[in-house]
Amino acid sequence: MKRLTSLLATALLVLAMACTALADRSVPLAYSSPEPQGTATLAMADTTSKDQLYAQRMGLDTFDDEAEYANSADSSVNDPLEGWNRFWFSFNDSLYIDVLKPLHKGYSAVTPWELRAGVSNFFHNLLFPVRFVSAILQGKLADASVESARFIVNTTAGFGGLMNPAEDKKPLIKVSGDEEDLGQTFGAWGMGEGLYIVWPLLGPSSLRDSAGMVGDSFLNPVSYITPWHSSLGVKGYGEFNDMDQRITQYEELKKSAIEPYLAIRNAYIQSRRARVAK
Amino acid sequence: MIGFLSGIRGIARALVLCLVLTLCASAAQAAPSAAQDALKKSLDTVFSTLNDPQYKDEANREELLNRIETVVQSIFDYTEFSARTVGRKWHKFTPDQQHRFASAFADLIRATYIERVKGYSGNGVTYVGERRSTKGDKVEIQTLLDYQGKSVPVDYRMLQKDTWVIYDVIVEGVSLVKNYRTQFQELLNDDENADSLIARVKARAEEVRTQSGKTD
Repeated sequence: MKRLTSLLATALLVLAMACTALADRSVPLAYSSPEPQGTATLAMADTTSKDQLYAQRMGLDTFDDEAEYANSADSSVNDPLEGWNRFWFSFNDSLYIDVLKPLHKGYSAVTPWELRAGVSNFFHNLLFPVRFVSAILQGKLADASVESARFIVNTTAGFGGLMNPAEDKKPLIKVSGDEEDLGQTFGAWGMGEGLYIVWPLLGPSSLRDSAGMVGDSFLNPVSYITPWHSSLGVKGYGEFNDMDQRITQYEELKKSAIEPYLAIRNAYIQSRRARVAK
Repeated sequence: MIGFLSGIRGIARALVLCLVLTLCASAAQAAPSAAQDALKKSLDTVFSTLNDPQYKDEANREELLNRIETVVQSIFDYTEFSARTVGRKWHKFTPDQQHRFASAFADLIRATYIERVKGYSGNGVTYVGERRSTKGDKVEIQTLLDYQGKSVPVDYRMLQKDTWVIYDVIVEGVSLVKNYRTQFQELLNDDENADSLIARVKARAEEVRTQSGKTD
């Protein structure tokens, strides 16, 4: 017993150290590609090594501006199914704007916001296994422990997850602050996103993230409700309850875009890549 | 029982060590830079204008937007932003086209993003960190924006001209410049020239304006 617990303590310590080492993954390239024509007339402050030393001395992270905005470094997306994708994109677009948005408006009119917030919290709390397992699989033990603490507090003091009393409690340990899922886990393991695909109803995804979604649904307790159509109904309701925020976000991005399909595709890929890197 | 207790002690020791490590890490963080000061000054003005009771009135909305736009113009470099969104082909634009493109873009940003802040009610921003470019000439200020009860990560990329100016905004990992860039690249590949691109940006701003006019 004694040996076991001290072993456990040592393992915890080692993993805590490993955690900080793993966090270094997000440090960007130190290589600056020369970019003679692309940024030639843009303001080029003289590059003194003094500044760089300053950054190093102050322990600041760095980002490689020139490589990131270089012409070659375009966030290329593999989109061989563009025809299919564009079809479902416009299908989803009218579904969100013409059907779900007015439906949700009616739903918000007849339900108090306390109920909607409670439902939202409840489903979010229920998805704890997805976040926990994904964090563990990526070796993010701090994230996993904070998720567990939140789950325990919200399930007990928050009446089974209906309320979110852990929301404004800041964790003492440093966590990435973004919610993990299996798609990100596969990405963290080095898997590329594969091709870009737009699903009917579900929206933008990639091959990797679609596989992640299938795995996530195995970790979602709602999947185990029988019969299958009740399970689907409950899941659908959970999604619908939160729909307004998703639609607003989508509409705003679409509004500011010159070419909405490309804008949404790029936003999806960029945000997933950022979350994998976190 | 004794074994259990010493195990607890072991865990406690591990935790203390972790805590010390995190404390050391946060102590290494730098004092706010000139870039952050400039950004903070502008954002503070925006939020205090938004909270100003005299602009709560619907009638003063246009004036509110104008005031915010003035602040944004002083810190956001539309030319740098436009140049990056167009990329290599920017140098094939004539100076006149470059100028018209930047102002069309400024108009679109006003119609979409600046228009959006008018209903903002939140606790503003917290500054969480900053990064320097590898060459040391540019800075990324990392903030969290309190928006509809959530904290949204918003990073501002800045460079120094006469003053520090923003050339890209990264919301939840999505860079605005890169997002427009993929759109423009495809459009410019499709044999569109500068003038038709400018026309498209202008048309878009116009469209958004009539749309939001309808819903208001």
